[in-house]
Amino acid sequence: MRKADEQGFREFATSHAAALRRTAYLFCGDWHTAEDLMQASLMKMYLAWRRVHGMDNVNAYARKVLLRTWLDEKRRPWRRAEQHDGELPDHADATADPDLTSSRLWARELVHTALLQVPPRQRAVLVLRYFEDLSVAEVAVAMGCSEGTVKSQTARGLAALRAAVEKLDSSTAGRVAS
Amino acid sequence: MSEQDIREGMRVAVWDEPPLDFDPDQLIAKAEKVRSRRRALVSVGVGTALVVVSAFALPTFLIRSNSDNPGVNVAKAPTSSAEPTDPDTRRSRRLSQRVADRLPHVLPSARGISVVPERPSIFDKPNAPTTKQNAPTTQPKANGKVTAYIGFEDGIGPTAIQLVVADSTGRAPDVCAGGQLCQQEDQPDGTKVVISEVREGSELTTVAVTHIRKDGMTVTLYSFSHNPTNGSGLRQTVPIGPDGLRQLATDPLITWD
Repeated sequence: MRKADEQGFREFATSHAAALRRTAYLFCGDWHTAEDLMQASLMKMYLAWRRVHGMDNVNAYARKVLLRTWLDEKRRPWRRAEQHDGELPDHADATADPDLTSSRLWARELVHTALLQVPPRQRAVLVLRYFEDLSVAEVAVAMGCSEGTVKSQTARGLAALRAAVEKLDSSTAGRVAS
Repeated sequence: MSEQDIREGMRVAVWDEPPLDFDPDQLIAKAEKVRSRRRALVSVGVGTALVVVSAFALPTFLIRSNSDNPGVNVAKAPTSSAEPTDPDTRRSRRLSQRVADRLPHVLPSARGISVVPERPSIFDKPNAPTTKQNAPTTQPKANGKVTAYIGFEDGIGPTAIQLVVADSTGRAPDVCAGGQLCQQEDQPDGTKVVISEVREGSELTTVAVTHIRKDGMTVTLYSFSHNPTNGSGLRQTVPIGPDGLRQLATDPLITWD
């Protein structure tokens, strides 16, 4: 690769790595896996950088690569999620601020429990639409499907998310229900 | 739960993200390693594929080229240096050349007529076309007996007929040759013609016409539903029927000395 192209990729990767990792976290619910997904996506982009960097919207392409990488990872048998059947003991967090704890706990529950119970493609649609603030058309491009499919997946994803939130404990559920 | 709640919840969820330890140079170095490994793998794959394709294609190509040019070993116009010293071979070429010269009168559509002497006799297995692999390359010589092929191309493709001439001193071929139909016709001049046919179902696969002369010499012409010089070119019936073979075997213009 030419030096100029390599420099262009370096700048792109440095400026977008964090955002890609955040999106990946919302996809998979785990920061370590999210970092792996981000690195794998950027590596794919580097290998195809010669034809990628001339595109109008490199960000959209990066999101698409990240989504495909995550869906591919999910299909691999050795990547299947662990099944937790035991109860972990609760420990007090000395650094936690009681004033902020409520909202953060709710968000964490939303991501870790409720969002992870939504099927992968519906979860991806929800993340792209409500976290990335993409339009239906942009999500359709990233998902490689029609806009109608995005709308239906969004509706189903929201229903699944609401049902999952309902199952959370009464205090959290009581806060989010509206 | 409103859409705004979901939007806000997702933002808060990534609020306490761990510090990012990302080194683009390390990523680029790793990607370059992956790229070179992939190139090496592709090179090995292409090389292996070429070897495999060559291994399969070369024998096929050789068989086909031999089939397309059945007269590769033809001695139609022998030069002094190519003239065989063996008298049986010389005679084989001479007799088969005479048959080749008369062939257009029997089969006007025949093109590229050539002589292929001393190729294997396959009439011992008339129902099974031989292949290039299992066919012997030379015919064991018998005293007073010559064998040759006359190759030609008709409207269907390249093929050949087989000529066997046995003197009264030589071992005459089996005139019926295992054929399902074997009929003998007495000729006005005192000679005999024996016609033998082999069929597979309704398809005629082999025809043999033997002319038994008064001096004991036998002239046998075989016509097969495949090209007997290489075992390929399977067709529905024989290129020359019994009448055409009889015309050649009894042709007064061909001298068999």
